[in-house]
Amino acid sequence: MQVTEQRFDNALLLKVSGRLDRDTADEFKATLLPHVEKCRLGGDVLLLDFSDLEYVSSLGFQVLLLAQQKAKAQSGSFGVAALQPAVKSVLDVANFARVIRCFESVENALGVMSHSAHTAYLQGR
Amino acid sequence: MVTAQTRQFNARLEPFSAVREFIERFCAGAEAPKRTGEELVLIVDELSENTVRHGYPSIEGKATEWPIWLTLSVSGRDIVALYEDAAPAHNPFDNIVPPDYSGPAESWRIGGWGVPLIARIAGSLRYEHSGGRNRIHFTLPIDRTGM
Repeated sequence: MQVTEQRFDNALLLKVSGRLDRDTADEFKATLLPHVEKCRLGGDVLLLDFSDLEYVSSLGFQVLLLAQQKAKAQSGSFGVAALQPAVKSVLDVANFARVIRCFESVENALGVMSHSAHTAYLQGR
Repeated sequence: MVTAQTRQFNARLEPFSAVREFIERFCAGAEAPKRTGEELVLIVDELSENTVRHGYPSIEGKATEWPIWLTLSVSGRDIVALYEDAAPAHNPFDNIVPPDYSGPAESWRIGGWGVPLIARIAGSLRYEHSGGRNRIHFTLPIDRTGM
């Protein structure tokens, strides 16, 4: 599991690659939660790019739920984008899209979550 | 013809990747589609997480060995799996209650999705306790034509 960061104006994009399972969920949690602290009203928009995420177990889902719970408590803007079919089918069992904002693509997500970040993303491509 | 294979793992010490590699090798030999392999990995991932989180830690005095056994075979067009541990008897499928997220976020229960996931994916799911082991039997299709 790898996480790489990119900033587009007020949005932090974390690209998560590999597998979120029993071996990697703790590391993912330790990486993600400090960023969630800054995901608040007037702070960072936080978006996870799952286009290279191959696998997620319920432990990975727990970390995402925790992040959403904290972001919501801080009135922050948090979402995930570009879920692959294998990952989406697991998350669908838990009605994931009912509790966490899911977008088809990073571009689509930033277009909804932050106009300035969307502009920066398009300029940076 | 793929022969049945059983492997014992130490759920406390071995990374889950060791279990995953065993499953992936078996599925390749059985010519199972990628999706079947992924679902088998997911089910065993969730079962072993339950063993590690709830099963062995509940033993008084704490067990030093945390063995799990996985037996895989092929029957007809199915992969037949048996997952076992030696933790205290417990049927995780007795009363499945998925977490409810209809309330406010601060009231959400973080966790509890492993068992509903297994129940949704696994075929012919059956629990028994015998010979001092929790035994969970299930199947997954090799042939997904028409699914």
